[in-house]
Amino acid sequence: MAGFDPTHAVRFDLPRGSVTAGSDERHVLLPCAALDDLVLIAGPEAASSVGRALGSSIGKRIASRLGGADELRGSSIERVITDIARELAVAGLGAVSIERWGRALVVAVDRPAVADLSFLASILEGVLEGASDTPVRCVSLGREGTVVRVLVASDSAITRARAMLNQGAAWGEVLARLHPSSAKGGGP
Amino acid sequence: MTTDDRIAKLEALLALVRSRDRANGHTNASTNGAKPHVDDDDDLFTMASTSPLDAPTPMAAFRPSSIPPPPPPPKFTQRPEAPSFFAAKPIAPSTRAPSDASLDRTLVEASTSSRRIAPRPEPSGVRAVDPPPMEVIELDVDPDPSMPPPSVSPVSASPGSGALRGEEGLESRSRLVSAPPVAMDAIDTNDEDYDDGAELLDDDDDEEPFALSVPPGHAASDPTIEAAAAEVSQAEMDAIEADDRAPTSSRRPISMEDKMSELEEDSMPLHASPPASGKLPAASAIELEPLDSQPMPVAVPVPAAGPRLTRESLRADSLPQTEVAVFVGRAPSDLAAKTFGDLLDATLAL
Repeated sequence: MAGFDPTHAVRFDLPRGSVTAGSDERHVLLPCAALDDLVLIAGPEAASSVGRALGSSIGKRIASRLGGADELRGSSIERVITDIARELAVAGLGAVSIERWGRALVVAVDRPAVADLSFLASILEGVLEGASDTPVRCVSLGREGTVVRVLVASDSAITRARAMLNQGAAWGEVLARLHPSSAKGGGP
Repeated sequence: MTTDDRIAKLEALLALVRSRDRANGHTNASTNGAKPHVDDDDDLFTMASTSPLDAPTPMAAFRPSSIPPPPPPPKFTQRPEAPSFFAAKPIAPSTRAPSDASLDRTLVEASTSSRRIAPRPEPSGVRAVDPPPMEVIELDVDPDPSMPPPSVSPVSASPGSGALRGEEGLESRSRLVSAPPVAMDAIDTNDEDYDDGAELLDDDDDEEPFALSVPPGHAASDPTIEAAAAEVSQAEMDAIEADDRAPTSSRRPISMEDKMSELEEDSMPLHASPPASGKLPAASAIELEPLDSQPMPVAVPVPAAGPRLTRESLRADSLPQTEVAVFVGRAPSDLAAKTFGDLLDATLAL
């Protein structure tokens, strides 16, 4: 199983006027401002759908490269995270890394290309669902400097986390309160 | 008196008047535009207190400003009780034909008009009051060589004093006499004794130099200036000049050479001499030797005068190699995800 090779990852066919990335999938260079306007005008649900679609294509490429979703789940964390980060970097969405707070998985995106954090969380949902072929929910924990943290959890956990964030709780407190009292693990 | 005698007297009077006018150059008559009016022959020496000149000037008499009106004539007023000998004497003759008696008096008066006649007090029933001692102020009047010598009046110049008209006349001294105040009740109001013209005629032959004086009984309260001629000898003049001369110290000639010599003779200086100005003295030249020929000086520690201090340090012994950290229990094994699938399942389990 070969890893992600960025060589000729994006191909610009000037006579045809097309840009292809990955497995001959055509792309469009789109300004970030236009993407933000689109997200702002479309609304949360439409923007979430667009984001999920955008991320799902990226996840499927990673899974196909790694030999499918099952092969990806059995792969090491470092390799999968490496392919995800490289694919998002070629797409220009930002530098991606993962953090583990107890049992919770937090994806940290440094200098994201989009301003709407919910839209960014939708992109990450699409990536993880496309790669693992498992329903995943993500919610943004907030921006801290240039880093935006996104929590990956079940649908019920994301609902509670949003409730706590709306009440003004800090993202560390939210992660601590999501874990059960019997669970032993580190926290922020 | 016959008509010839009367004419002769009038001619004599006219001759005297002409001679006097020539002597005086008609100064009084030309400068004084208003002649005093003599009402009566008996009052030649007195003037009426209400003369026509005292009448107010009518408004029509004022002229335009371009031509100033003539100055008003001086008013001569006299108190009724004042002695008549203080009154001004008219010089112009009367325009009316006087009587024989008045002509005689006028002729005598004209011959002695330039004299100042001091009436002598008549012995009267009023006892004269002795005046208190008077303060005498002597003034020295030096003759001005540029001015002509004052003409000695014929009254004051007596035949015996004719020799004094020369140099001695210039050495005369004026004397200011201030009379002390005298009570007015002591003044005799009987002025008839002093207005008697016959008494004056009797004194014409007196050759004594007389001065204006006031009888003791009639001394006025105002200070009286008595001008008396005093004869001063040459010895007295020298003494006076010696007294008036400046002191010897002020008349001593002062020359700068003497002053400078006195300053040079002073051996004690008044203050220290100021510092000398000009170029600052240069520092003495230092002869430097080459470094190769002379070794560098080495700083030699100089022992302190007090007790010598030494440094002593104490170090702790090294710890023995032992296990300091103690781990209690074991880390949870479920958090140790090995694959991405395990990690994803753990987070989805929240």
